[in-house]
Amino acid sequence: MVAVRPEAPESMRFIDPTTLMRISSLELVARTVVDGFISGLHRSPNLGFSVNFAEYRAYRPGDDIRRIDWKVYGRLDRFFVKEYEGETNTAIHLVMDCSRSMAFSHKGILKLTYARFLAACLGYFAFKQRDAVGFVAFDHDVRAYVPARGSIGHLNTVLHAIEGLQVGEFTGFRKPLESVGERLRRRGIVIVISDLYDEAEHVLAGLRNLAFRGNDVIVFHLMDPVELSLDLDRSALFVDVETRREMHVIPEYLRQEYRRIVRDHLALFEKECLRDRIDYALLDTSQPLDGALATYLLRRERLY
Amino acid sequence: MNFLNPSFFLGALAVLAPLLLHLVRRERARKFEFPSLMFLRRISRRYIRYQKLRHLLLLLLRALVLLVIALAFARPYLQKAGAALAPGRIAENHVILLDDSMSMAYGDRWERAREAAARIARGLQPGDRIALLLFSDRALTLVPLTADPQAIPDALAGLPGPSDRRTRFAQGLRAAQQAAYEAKGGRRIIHLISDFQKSGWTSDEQDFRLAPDIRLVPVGVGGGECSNLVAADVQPAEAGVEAGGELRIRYSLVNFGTEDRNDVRVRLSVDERAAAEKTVSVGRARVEREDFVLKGLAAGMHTVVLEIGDDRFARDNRFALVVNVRGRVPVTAVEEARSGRTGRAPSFFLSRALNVPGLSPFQLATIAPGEAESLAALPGSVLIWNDIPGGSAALQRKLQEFVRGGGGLAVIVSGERAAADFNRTFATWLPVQVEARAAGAAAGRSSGDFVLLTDIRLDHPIFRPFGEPQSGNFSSARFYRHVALKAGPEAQVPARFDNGDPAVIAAEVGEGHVVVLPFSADDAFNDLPLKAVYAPFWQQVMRYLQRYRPERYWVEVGESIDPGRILDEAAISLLKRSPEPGRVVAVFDPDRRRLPVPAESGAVIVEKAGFYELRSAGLNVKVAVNPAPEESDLAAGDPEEMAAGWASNQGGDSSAAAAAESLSPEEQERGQALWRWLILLAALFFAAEGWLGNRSVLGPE
Repeated sequence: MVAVRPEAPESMRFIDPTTLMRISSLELVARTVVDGFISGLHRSPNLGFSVNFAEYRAYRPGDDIRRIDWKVYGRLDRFFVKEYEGETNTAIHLVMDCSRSMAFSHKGILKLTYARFLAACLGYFAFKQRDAVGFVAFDHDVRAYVPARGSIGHLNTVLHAIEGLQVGEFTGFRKPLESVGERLRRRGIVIVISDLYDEAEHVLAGLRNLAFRGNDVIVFHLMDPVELSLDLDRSALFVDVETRREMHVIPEYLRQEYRRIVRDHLALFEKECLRDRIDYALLDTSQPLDGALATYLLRRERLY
Repeated sequence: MNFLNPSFFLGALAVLAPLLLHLVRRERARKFEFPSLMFLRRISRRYIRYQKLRHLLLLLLRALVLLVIALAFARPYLQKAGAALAPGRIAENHVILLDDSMSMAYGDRWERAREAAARIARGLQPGDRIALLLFSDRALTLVPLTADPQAIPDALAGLPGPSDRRTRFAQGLRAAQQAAYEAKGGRRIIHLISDFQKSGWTSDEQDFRLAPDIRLVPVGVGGGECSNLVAADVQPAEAGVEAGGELRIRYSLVNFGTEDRNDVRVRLSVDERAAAEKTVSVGRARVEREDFVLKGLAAGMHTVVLEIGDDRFARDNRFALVVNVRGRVPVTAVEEARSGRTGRAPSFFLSRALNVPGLSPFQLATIAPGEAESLAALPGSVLIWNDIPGGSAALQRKLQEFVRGGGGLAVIVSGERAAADFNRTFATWLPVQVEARAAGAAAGRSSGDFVLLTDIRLDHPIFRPFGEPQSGNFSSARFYRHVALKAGPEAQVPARFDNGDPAVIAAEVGEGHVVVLPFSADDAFNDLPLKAVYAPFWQQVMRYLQRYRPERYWVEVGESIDPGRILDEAAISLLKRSPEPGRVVAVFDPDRRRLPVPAESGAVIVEKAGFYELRSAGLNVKVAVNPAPEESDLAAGDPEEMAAGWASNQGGDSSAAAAAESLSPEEQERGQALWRWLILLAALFFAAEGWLGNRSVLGPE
C-alpha cells in the first residue's frame, strides 16, 4: 500500500511524496508521515516535555478560572494558576504560499501539493504536541486565515482549509506577511512554506516583520528539482506562470549560469535568515517530508 | 588529390544530422510554463552570446570530426604519391605507343588513333600513370610517365600529324618498354596504336620480344581494303649521261592495293617544269616498269619530280630525285701502241671493261708515253701507267703533282722493262719497290706454273663489293707471271697471291690514290681478263682511284645527310674546284625553313619528303628526299597476331612477373597513409569537442 524507498534502512523508512499523492485524505497523509516519523525516533526523550510542571503564577484577570489551583488557595488564600511546560500552548502558524508559481511540477508532485502535505504534517505533529495550530494562505494577499487554536476539532478545520485551498495569483511577500503579523496576537512559531518567488528584500522584509514581532520563524523554501537545476534537455518558450512574460530558453546555454544565480539566491536567504535568527530550510519536492519535520522538531526543541 | 573510396563522402552528410535535429526540435519547441523567469532574466545577454558561440564552436568541431572521418574513410592520396590504390588493386603504368609513320595518314587512321589514345587516358584509374610515345622508325617520348591524364589530350592536340617516316615496330616497342620500366612497380601495359602495317614487320621486328612482365594491348586502326599507287626505283637508266644527251628515267609503278588501277596519269617535271606525261594502268598487286626519256639536258644538277595521279593516298604521290648531268669520268691509259706479246693494244681488255655505255661511268682513252711527256697537264682524273717505264724525272714530278693534287694513278708493272725501271722512277715517291728476285713463273704459260689470287681483304674499298656471296670469284684466274713487289709501311696490300707476293698494292699520296698491280691488264701472262670479275675489278680500281662514291639521286626520310660533304663533292664536280674550308652552310627544308646544323656532327636528319636545299657561298645544291617505298604498302596485318609475336615466350613465369609488378603491402600502405593523419586529426577534434562540451554543457558545479 505504501511505497518504501528500498535503499533506506529499516529505521528510516520515509514515504515518497509522490506516493502520498495517492492518499486522498490529508489527515491520513499527516498521520502516515508523522507516525512513521515518530516511530523512527525510537522513543525520543523530546516527547512529553510539555506535561512537566513549570511554576505557579499569580492569577490575572482573564485567566481561565478552571486553571486556578484550589489547593493552594486553601492554604494561602491566594489565587494561583498552575502552569506546566506542556501547557505553554505555543501557537503554530502555518503560513503557506498559494500563488500560481506553487502550482508547478515538472515530473513529480506539485509544489502546492507538497506544501499541503507539509502543512498538514506539521499541523498534525503540532496537534499531537498539543500546540495551537493556525493556518494562513497567501499569494500577494492573504487568501485564507484560520486562527490558531488548540482544541481537538480545530485540526480538522485547519486540514480542511489546507485541502480546500485554491491556486492564487502572483506572489507578494510584504503585504500578506505584514497582514499575518498584525493578526497574530500571540507570539508563536510561524512556519512559512513558499517558493519565495519575490524580490529577496521583499521576502526578507516580510519574514523580518514576523520575526521582529517575537515569533520564531521557520521558512521552508520549496523548490522543484527543475527549478534548482534547469535540467531540461530541449529548448522551449518559457512562460512565467505569474506574469505571463515569455522568454526563449535553450537550457544547455543557460543552465550553468542559472544554477549559479539560484545558488547565490539561496545562499543569500540562508545568510540573511541566519542573521535574523530565522530558520531556513530548502526543501526539494522530490525528497520525503521527514527532512522538514526534523527541521521543525529541531527548532521546537531548541526553543523549549 | 584523389580518393580510393569516394563513396564514403556520403558519410559527410552526417554533418547535416545535428542541423536537422536542431530544426526538427525547434519545430517542436512548445511553451513551457515555468514558475518564474526571475533567475533566467538575470542572465546577461553577453553570457548568452558567449554560450551560443561556444555551442557553435562545438557544432563546428562535431561537423569537423564527421567530415574528417568521412574524408579518412574515402582514403585520400596525393597524385605524386603514385601508389594510392584501391585495396587489392595494383597500380597500372600505361604506355601509349602511337604510330606516326606516313601510312597513318591514310584515310581516317590518324584521327582514330588519336581518339583511341585519348580514350585510354580517360580510362585511367586513381594511382595509375600514363605515358605517350610516338614511333615510326624512331621513337619520341612526348609525355613521360605521369599521373595526370590530361597531359595526353594536351599532347595529342599539339601533334602536327603523321610524319613521312617508315614503320619500325621494334624501335617503338623498345622505347615503350624502357618508358614502362621507369615505373618502380605496378603493372606495365603498352597500348600499341597503329595500322599494323605488314611492311613494318621486318626480321628485326619478328625477333623482338617484350619482357615477361609487360602486357601488350594492340589497338588496330588499319585494316579494310586500301589502295595505293607508288613510284619506286626512280633513277636514271644509265650512268654518266653527257650534257645534251639522252637521259632515260626509269621507274616502277607499284599497285599495293587490292583493285586494278587504270589510266593513272604519271607526270615528270624537271626543274619545276613539266617535261613528260603518260597514262599507265596497273593491275592489283602488280608492278609496271616504265621510263621517260629526257633529251637535251644541260650539264649540272637538275631536280626531277615524278608525280602520280593517285587520289587515294596523296602523301607518296611525288617522287623527287636530283640528277647530275656531268658525263662519264675520263680515264687515260698511257701505254705502248701495241703489245709485243699479244699483238693487241695493252688496254684492249681494259677498254672493254671500262667503256660500257650505260653500265660504266668511265671512258677510257689511250695516249703514247711520248705524249705524256709533252703534255703540260695530264688529262682526266685517272691515269693508267700501263706497263711502261717511268719516263724522265720531269715526268715523274708531273705524275707526283698530279697524284698529290687528287688524281688517281694505276701503275701496271708486269713487263721486264717496266719492272727494271720501277725502282728508279716510281719507287722514289711511292711506298712500293720491285724486289730483285724473279717472281712467279718466269717461264710463262708453257711451264704450267702459276699462282692464284687468294688472299683478298674484302674490307678494302676495291674488293668490298666482292664480299657478298656469288659476287665474284678471283681464285679461278691463273697468274703465270707477275712481278715481285714489296709494299712499304705506308702502303696497303688488299690482295696477295697464294705465294705471299702482293697482288694489289694501294697507297694514298697527298690527296690522290695510287694502285700498283704486278700483273698485266691483258691476257699475256694471266687469264684474269677472261674471267667475269675482270670488268668489275677494274671499275672498282677506277672508283678507288677517283675516290668515287656511288651517286645517290635521292635519300630516304629519316636518313642523315652531311651538307658539308655534299657541298664539297658538288664543288669538285660542278665547279672543278677544291672545297672551301670553314664556309658557312645553310640548310633549308622543303617548307623553306632553315634548319640548324649541329656543329659537332655537321649532319642533318631529313624528316620531310621533297627537296632540301643546301647553300654556301656561290653554291646551291638540292637533295631529294622521298619516303621509304615500303611505307607505301598499306596492307595491314592482324594486330593480335603481331602482338602475340612480340609477347614474351617466357609465359610460364607469370607468377614472378606478377610479383615483380605488384607493390609490397608496405609500399601500398605507405602511399595511402594520409588517412592515419586524418584519423588523428579527427581524434584531436573529438578531444577538443569533449573538453569544450564538458565545459559548456556540464559546467563547473
